[in-house]
Amino acid sequence: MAYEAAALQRFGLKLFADPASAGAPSTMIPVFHQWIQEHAVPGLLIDVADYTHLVDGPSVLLVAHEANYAIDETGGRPGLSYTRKQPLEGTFEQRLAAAAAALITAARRLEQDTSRMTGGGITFPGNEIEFVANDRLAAPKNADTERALRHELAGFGGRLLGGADVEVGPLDDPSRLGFTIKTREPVPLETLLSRVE
Amino acid sequence: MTWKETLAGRIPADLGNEIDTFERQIALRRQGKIDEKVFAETRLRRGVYGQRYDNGQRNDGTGPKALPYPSRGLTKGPETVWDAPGMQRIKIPMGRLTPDQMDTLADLAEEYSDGICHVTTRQDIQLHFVHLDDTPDLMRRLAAVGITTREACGNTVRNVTACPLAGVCRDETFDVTPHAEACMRFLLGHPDAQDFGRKFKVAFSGCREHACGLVAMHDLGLIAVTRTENGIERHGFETYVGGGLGAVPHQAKLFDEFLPVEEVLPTAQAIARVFARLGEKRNRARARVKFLVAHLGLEEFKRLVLEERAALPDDPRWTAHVADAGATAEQPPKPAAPANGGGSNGFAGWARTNVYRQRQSGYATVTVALPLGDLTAHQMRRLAALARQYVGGAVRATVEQNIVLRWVREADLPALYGELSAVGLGQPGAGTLADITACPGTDTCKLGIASSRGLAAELTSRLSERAAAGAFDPAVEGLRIKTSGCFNSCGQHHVADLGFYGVSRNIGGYAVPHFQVVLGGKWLDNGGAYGLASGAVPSKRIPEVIERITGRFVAERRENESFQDYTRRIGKRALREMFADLATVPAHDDDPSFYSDWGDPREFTLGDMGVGECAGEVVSLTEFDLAAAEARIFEAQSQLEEKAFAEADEFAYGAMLLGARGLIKTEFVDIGDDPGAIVSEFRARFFDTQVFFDKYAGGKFAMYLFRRHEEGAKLNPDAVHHLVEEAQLFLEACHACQARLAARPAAGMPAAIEGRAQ
Repeated sequence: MAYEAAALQRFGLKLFADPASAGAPSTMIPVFHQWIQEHAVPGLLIDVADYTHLVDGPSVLLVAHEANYAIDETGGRPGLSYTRKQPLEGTFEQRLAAAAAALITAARRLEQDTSRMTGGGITFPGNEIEFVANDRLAAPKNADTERALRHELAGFGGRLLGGADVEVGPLDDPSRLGFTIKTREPVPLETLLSRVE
Repeated sequence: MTWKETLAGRIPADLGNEIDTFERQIALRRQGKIDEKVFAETRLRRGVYGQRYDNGQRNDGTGPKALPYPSRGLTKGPETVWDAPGMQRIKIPMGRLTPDQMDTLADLAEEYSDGICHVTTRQDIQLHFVHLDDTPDLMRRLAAVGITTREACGNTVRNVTACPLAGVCRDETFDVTPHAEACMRFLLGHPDAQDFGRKFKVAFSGCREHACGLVAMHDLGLIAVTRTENGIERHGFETYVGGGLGAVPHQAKLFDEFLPVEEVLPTAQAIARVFARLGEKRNRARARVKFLVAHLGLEEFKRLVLEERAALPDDPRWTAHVADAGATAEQPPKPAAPANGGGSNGFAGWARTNVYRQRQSGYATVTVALPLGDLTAHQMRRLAALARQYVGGAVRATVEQNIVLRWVREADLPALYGELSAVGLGQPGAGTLADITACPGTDTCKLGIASSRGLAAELTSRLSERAAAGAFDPAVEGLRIKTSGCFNSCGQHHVADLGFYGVSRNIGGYAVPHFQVVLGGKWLDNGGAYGLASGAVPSKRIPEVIERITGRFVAERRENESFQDYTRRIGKRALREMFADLATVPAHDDDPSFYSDWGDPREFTLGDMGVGECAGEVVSLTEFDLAAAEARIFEAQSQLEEKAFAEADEFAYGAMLLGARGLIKTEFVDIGDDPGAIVSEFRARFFDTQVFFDKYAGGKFAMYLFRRHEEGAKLNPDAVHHLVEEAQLFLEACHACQARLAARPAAGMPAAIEGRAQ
């Protein structure tokens, strides 16, 4: 198996939340139900799945036809993830940008809605995003794929986070193929969104 | 590259062919060339199941709303939209898993599902929110690690279950694993097990007393026993038939006190034949074996089975496994080492409830308690690594929705506990009041009425702290709580000490989620008694019900009195009165929380219930063969386009044989696969009698089959091209003939029964 960027349609992005702001994942359940009512984020929104009894993985999922949104607690680090299921058009970078736009749009909405509904509110510093390849055929985990993906993500990450100090590093979980892309200073979500829309 | 190409050589040929055929059937259904009912049963037989909201509608809390899937006009079954996510059930015989299989399950959960693996009450693994189009590759990746999803759902022999402690249990009579394994292999795809009106479940248990096998609630249940004859100890099974839960639970009846191990498979085959022949097909609510046994009476059922058994031709598979069945195949990965102290905080409490001392000195079996039967893909992968490290791969799923690691050296227990805890898998309380079983309920099941998982999650949250602290009174610690979303009992509430199943009540014009409280069930003795419904209580008050009943039991029990004995002694009326005041529901305006279910803020409704697929679709063997013939024609055309003439010829000929065989099965179900026999029977039954003849073309289309059969393959392009076209016409004539037969008025005994007598 060899890496085929053109075929890599299944991948996930996660925007890390400020842990102090995250609160109990169960507070997100009514938020996601409301999103379905209001078609608040892109995609055909189907249902909410509650896995708050688990640790170290997706905790509350907003299941959509094209992709799943999730409050994700993998590695004990809360965040909002967006995992593509259906193919997107365009080059790999264009697909990354489209997925990032959907994720950041949802994160902004989550900040607003949790602030309104719970009084506190989750916040996203916007300076760290995680990419996970989720297709072991198109992107098998090996040195060649890692090299190619790292190169592509360095370019994309630089444009998204904007800055000379953007770092692309390995995931904590060595069984998955992916990278964290981060910069030192927080970046407002509006700014991030403007760079991928 | 595709998964098919990538895994070539790693998938057994028969599994690979089956999956290829299924993929072709998906393509044909897309083109409208397979009837949706036939396709539904076809996918169910591959474990591809429907899920809630797959009819394209969901109540979002403000009212029913359409889910406008892209493929709205295309269905994968009656009222089942193509693009709607579904569930993939993965059969794990005896719950036995290897680390490689666990890694693959984790990968598949991440790529095709929602990142969660779910262990079921029948030792299966389920993945939810899976798209139909992904299932062939998912199946190929499973097949490459030795797993088939064949007959995981539908009207088939479902997963064969067995005690997770088989082979290491201190109390078992002998290890049932090799017998359960042989039974699973023998019945999988067996021609005599393809024409049932409903599913058929088999369970093996190593002893009478414990609950691990739950024999009493199975269609066919076997308990290991021995008998000494002429000074020689023989192995056999106390054999039960006709058990089952569901809306009308039946305790299995004793079929044979001692069925020698050599007779297990032929007897199972004979039972399957009787069930296929005489079991109900039209009224699916009464189509399980339990109803047939009740209808015929046990003695008549047994007589028919023994008669069938006596007529069966010998099959070497019946006894091939027996000679080697004396010892478990599992070997300890490391020399035994006794416990030598140690252990972090929490270890002692965990070890008390989650560690079972094996009969092999120095080894233990560890139960990894999974909340609601769930674990994340990451946890599954870590568990696989720990299994490799500590037990060399001896892993089994349990009917209590947990996973056990067998052959852990006692000296390794503290370290293993530490590593499990590090990934959130070190929860204590296995086999206690806090270890709650739940079916999917309204989370994903189309039949769910109330949220069994929501209730179970709430109870787990409330009880697990006490489990960790060892704070349960000893009298109640080992009681079992089981919850089902409806009366169908997938959560096995009938055999729980405290069982609950979802119902609805109308209060002031609002639907309110309730649970029926089921008391008096017996988990021990292989599910030895079924509880009775004692009254419905609002879902939000079930935690109080549990507190009150267990509290009263602790306070009022007599010395050594069991919970079952206590409930029997005080009687149903007193039990009901115990929580009668909790049955009230405040007005909607006073407390609207009663009007939504656990974990779901939407106002409760029954409007999202759909048509269940548990019963599958009753599809005749003829329809199956005609559908398979269509898939072969499709492949013949594809091969022709590729100029693979030999393959195209073979597929076209195979399609005609399948079409002919399908028609023969309307009269003679034991026809088999031999081409000569198929052509001969077809000629005698359908050509010579002119039953096959078309009003205008007469017997012309049958001649296409006869000519190809008699003259063999002609591999020049024109000849193959003609053959593919002729096969298509022959198949159309088969469909037309089947339609004429179906329109004929029924006369006397059903054709299938008549045919079997031959």
